[in-house]
This record gives sequence, C-alpha cells and structure tokens, in this order.
Amino acid sequence: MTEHFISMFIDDELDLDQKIEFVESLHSDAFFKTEAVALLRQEKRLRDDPVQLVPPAVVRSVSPRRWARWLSPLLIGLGSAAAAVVLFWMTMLPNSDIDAVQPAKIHRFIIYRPDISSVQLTGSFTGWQPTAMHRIGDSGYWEVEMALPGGEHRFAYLLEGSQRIADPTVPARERDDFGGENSILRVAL
Amino acid sequence: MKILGTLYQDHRERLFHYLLRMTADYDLSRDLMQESFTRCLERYGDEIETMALLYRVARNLAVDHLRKAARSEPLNVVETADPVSLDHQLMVREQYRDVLGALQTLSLEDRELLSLVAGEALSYRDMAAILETSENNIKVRVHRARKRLRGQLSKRGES
Repeated sequence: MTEHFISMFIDDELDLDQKIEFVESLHSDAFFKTEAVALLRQEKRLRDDPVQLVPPAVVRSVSPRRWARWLSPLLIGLGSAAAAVVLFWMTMLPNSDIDAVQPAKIHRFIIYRPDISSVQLTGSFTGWQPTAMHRIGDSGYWEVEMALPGGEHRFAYLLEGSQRIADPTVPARERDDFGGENSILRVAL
Repeated sequence: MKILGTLYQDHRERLFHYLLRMTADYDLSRDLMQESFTRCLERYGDEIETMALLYRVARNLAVDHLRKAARSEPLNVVETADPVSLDHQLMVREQYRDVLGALQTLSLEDRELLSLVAGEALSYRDMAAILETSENNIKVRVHRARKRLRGQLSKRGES
C-alpha cells in the first residue's frame, strides 16, 4: 500500500482502482486508518480560513481604459498625495463605458444576525451579484467593506442565500419590482 | 481562457489565504495579493490562460520575498499599532495562529505545497505546473509535507 494514497484521498486525486485499494487498506491496516484520520483532521484545521476578513485588492492601474473593460473602479483615487492611481476591483462590468477613474469611498456594511449561518450583500454597486459578508468573531455581527462611488445606491442583505431583507438600521427604503424592499444609501465624496 | 476579473472574484480569498499560510503576515499577504493581480494584468492583460498562472505569479513573489528576508518573518498577523488594523484583530482567528506557527517551521518547499493544496482550488497537475515539477513528484511531496506538519503540531501539543 502506498501511504501517499492518504493524501491523494484528502485531495480527491485517487482513481477508482486506487480508491478500492485505499478502502481495503483502511479495513485491514489499523495504523493506516489511524494515520488517515489524523491527517484528515489536520487538513480540516489547515483549510479553515485563517482570517474572517480578507482585505480587498487595491491594484495599481497602468491603463484605466484597459481596466475599464472588466473592472469596477469602485475604489479609486487616494487623494492628491498618491502618485499612483489605484483601482479597487469589485466585479466585472463588461462593455462598460467607463473611461475614467471614478472616486470612491469605503463603506462598511454591518448587520447583527447571530442566528444564521450566512449573510450576503447584494446591491446596485455589485450588479446585484451577492457578495459574502464575514462573521465578526462570535459577536453575531456580519460585515463587509465596499468601495462605493458617490451617489445613490440600493442594497439588501441575503440571509441563508434566500431570504432578502433591507438593512434594519437604514430608514431610507424603496420597494423593488419583486415585492421586496431595498435600502437606499447615499454616498457623498 | 479566463477573464482576470472572474479569477479575482473566485480566487481573491483563496489566494490571500494561500499567501497568509506562506508568510504568516496579514499585511504582507495583502500586498503580495495586490501585486499578483497587478502583475497578471500587466503581463497577460485582462485574459489569463489558467488560474495556475495567477498562483505561479503569487508564489514567485512570495518565495522571492521570503528568500530575501534574512530572518524569519514575525507573526504580525494581529500586531500593529495602526488603528485601522484593529478590525483585523477581530478578524484573525486566534486558534489559527498555532497552525500558522507550525507551518512556518517547515521548509519553504513544504510550506508552499501545503499552502497551495489547502486552497482546494488546484489539482496536483495544476500544482505541478506552478512548481515546475511532475505530478508524481507532487503526490509524494504533499504527503511527506503533511507528515512533517503533523510532527510539528505534535511537538506543540496541538494534535
């Protein structure tokens, strides 16, 4: 028995014949089984996310027109002191007419929902694509930071991937076309 | 052919976690992630052949940085006086620092193997392309690296 089959099992790299051999070894070799379980537990721990908030990538732009085809320049411009224009990537804007870098402001979305396992943010600034929010420790709060251009934006939270709610802390709302409510956020730069 | 923007959406978090496992440094990982996307854009434009290229760029940047560092990198995941980074203190999982610490005791080769495979995005074939070696070599080396990590965690009384 080749011991590295354990790692190939962990990494979904076994073919069918190897899977047969692997399962037979688990049943016939106690040491092999112990080793397999220990490495599986170790890998589970290793694959756990080290942090709960992954920073956004702020990427130097060399050609705004080139970027504009596929990037949403939602965070841009670090002021006159910044020598380089930076772009914050949020999502693709195919066929966008954006030719120039737009200024933006970081906004933190935060919601208190200790009772559920996932919260996503969806809004006009993401093309209504859901974006995962991150749990803040055991506090029950979820958050995500977005770079928003100035102006008026609509957004809502998706609970457990399906239940859509407006932000309970934002009084400005409007009904959408599907009977739900969106919060309205005005960003001044 | 993949659109780099799609890769960003799909792999930003994985790439950051890969770099964090490699370096155990939150700020450095963020900088390397940004530099990786920037270089991919500069080198390949807005279309990139495979996501393995993105990881190869990131890996080369990380390895270059780590090799240049004369001493081992500190575990400054949460140690900073910058008030903005206080947020990060909330975000970093305390228990993961032990894993990061054990990873940093491994050789760079072991660490990069385990960091790549932990992202669950890359096959052994992808990893072989990134590390410019054979798939069979990856099969054996990943397992040996896992066993060495287990040894380190055992020494720390963590497994």
